[in-house]
Amino acid sequence: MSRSTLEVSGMGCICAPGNNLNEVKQSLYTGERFPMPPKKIETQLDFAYPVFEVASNLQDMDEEATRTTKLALQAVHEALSQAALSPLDLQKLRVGVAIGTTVGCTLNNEPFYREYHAGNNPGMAVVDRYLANNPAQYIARKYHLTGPVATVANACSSGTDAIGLAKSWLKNDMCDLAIAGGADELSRVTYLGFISLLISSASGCRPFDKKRDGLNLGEGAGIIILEKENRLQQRGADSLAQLIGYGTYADAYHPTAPHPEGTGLKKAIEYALRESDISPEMVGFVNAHGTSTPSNDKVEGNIIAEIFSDRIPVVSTKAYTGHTLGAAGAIEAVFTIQALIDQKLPATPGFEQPDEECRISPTTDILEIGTEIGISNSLAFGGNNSTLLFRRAN
Amino acid sequence: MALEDDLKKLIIEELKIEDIEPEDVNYDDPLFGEGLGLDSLDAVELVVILKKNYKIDLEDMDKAREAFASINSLAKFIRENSEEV
Amino acid sequence: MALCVLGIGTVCALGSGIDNFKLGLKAERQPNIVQMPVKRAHGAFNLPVYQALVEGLDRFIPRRALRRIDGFAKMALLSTHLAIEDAGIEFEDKSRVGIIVGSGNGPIRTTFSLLDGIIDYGDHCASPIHFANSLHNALASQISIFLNINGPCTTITCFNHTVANVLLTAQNWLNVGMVDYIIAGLGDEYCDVLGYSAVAYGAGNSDSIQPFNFKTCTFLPGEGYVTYLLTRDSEKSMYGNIEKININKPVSEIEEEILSDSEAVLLSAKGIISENESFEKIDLTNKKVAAYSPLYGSMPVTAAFDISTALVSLKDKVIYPSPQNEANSDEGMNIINQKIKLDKNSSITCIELAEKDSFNIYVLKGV
Repeated sequence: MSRSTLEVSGMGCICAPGNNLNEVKQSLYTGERFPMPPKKIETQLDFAYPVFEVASNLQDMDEEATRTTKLALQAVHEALSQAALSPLDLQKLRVGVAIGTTVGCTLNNEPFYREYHAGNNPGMAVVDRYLANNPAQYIARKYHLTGPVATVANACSSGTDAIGLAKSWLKNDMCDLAIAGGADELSRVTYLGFISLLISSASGCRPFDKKRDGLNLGEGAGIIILEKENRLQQRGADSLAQLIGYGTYADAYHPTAPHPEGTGLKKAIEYALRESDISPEMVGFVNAHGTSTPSNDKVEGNIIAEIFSDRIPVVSTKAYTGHTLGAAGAIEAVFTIQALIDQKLPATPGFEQPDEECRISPTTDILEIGTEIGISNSLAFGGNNSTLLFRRAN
Repeated sequence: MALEDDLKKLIIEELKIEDIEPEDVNYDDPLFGEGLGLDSLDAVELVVILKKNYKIDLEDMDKAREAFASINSLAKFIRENSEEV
Repeated sequence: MALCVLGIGTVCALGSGIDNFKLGLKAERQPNIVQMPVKRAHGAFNLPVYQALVEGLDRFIPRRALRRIDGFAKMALLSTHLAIEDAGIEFEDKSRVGIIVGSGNGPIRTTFSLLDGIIDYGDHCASPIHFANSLHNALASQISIFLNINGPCTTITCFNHTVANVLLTAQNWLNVGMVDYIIAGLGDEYCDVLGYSAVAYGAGNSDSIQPFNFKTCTFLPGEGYVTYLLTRDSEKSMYGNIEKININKPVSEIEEEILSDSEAVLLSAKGIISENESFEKIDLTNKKVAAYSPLYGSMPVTAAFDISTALVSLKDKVIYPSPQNEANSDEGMNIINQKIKLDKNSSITCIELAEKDSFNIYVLKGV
């Protein structure tokens, strides 16, 4: 097994605050966020729950791609650019692709199914597109990649777990380089689904706030390019950060609620720390899952306080992006790395009043941090908990 | 008691509670925790069941907790809030 | 690192449990093929579908506890329990057991049940239980909850890359010491929308899958779920090991793989024309070849059942005749039409299409 460290050489991000990482970053540092009623989704509901939509129609992207795939492609393109890797460079290597998603691997196209349900014969274009648009497979085909190809469908921790999967590929020499992350588009089905669970907020989400009442959905993609240190050095490229730890554990508790004692999250964080030989005191900040639901924030806050301290800087960037489901863990990995580069955290808009039951409070303003290590958490429906640990590049 | 009996059948059927007949359920038995052993996911499903069958919108989970305590409390809530009954 | 197979649990058209699966391989049990109506605007059409027989779950889980569990999750739970029973082991530390689930289409029937509710009753009547169950990781989640297994848990959905990825992830997790056992499950379910799509893509012109008839579309949808209980310690296995997994091998590189010591090559050919165009290019002259999809049907994870077939053959030390071995076989292929005895430590190679003209190769070795 390889002992070379794993370096992040490129990143890409598209979400409501911006179409590329630079735009997104600038937006986050203003502290402003814009939850809005959805434009692309129409419903019969009396109320339009706010969401965080990507403004762009992505019309320059491949016509035959679904919106989820287009979001992923945009972020992949940006990440490869930053990593100074051309499509030709990729073809000389074994490149793996691991993408997390929830909407992107599901055949739930409503217009198609409504026609079918009504007893008509809908055309097969929608099914053709579904079969051709498994996100990881699409990217691998587009760039003619020959390494492992996996779409991870682990609900809200998919993006985190895709990065964890790519890490294991590199460590086991299954590929030379990996494109890893997550993507999800806003979908009417998930929008209605979360509303039916009564965990969507009627206003902008308020992570860890005493009056929080639910999440806002979002859409987007986050991608990182992962490669071993020796390869990076060989091609004279720069590292943005090191991926030093990944932990993942199930709660084995309930299909939609986290374990009240956060047992899975605790094990995931502790594994990641042990794997990277990092003690809790060395961790400078947490990019929380922080969905703003009553149960998630309470469980997560308590575990963060227990393992680190109730004073460790915490940010929930879902306050800017909404919950982007399969993309969330990957977008937040990108933000964690960016925070290490910039040595600061954005504020967490929506948070006003601490909840003593959460034990921690997130940032209320831009916070300068002098730290080498940051972590990002993801807690998924179904009870999966995953954590990534990053170290600032030398 | 027609509404109460209808509710027993509806809950057993829609939430697929096996091996329990309507006559096994007392009108004052707790629906959640003990009794029928329903949980938070069943509660939100019950909200949708009420919408479908009685056209009631119930999204305040504090009110729901009170209404869902037993068949009797649910029937009372429906009588007070539904135009269908 | 080889993956040692401790136990297998199969739920498919051959029935539930590895004993029924074996009867199917021996041609002593016929697959459960049901004529399913396919909805069309101008009259009905019946499509033969390999419908899974899900029997005996109440041996492991009381019916009452399964009320919110959909059909696909029931298949997964039964298959998981059967694999653990087959292995005859008990887990000392359940946080050292990993769960990896792979599926091509996920819980697709529940996906459409959710939409049914929205279409029939309105947007405000989306069922939260259907929504929760429609997420692709619902199966893995239910396995972890019902068996109280709190180790690492992941779900992979990647069509023809699914089987390989589940097994490679198992290998990696065991290799780095994250876990001591893996419950690796692979499955797909049928629903009427898939039936409609299958007919649109040419299914139903043939009453049977003819895997070696490369020029004709003969695929028929199947459903099922297979679970392997895996570990890294070869000495414990009664089935043997998944010795090698090679992914995305172009046709030109296949020759080396199948010129290995394998006694037979199992093709995951399932009657799909676009896949057949690639299978045709593999030079199988003088290799003993079999294809068992006529026993369980065409689905994205058919290769997982082929791997089970190979493992059962290695355990029994006999390769069973390839079903449909007389039907339109391609020239030059030595299709296995009678039992072949195997020695200890024999190997069987399974070949699955990954992408056009590239394949995933699985080498299974007996003990």
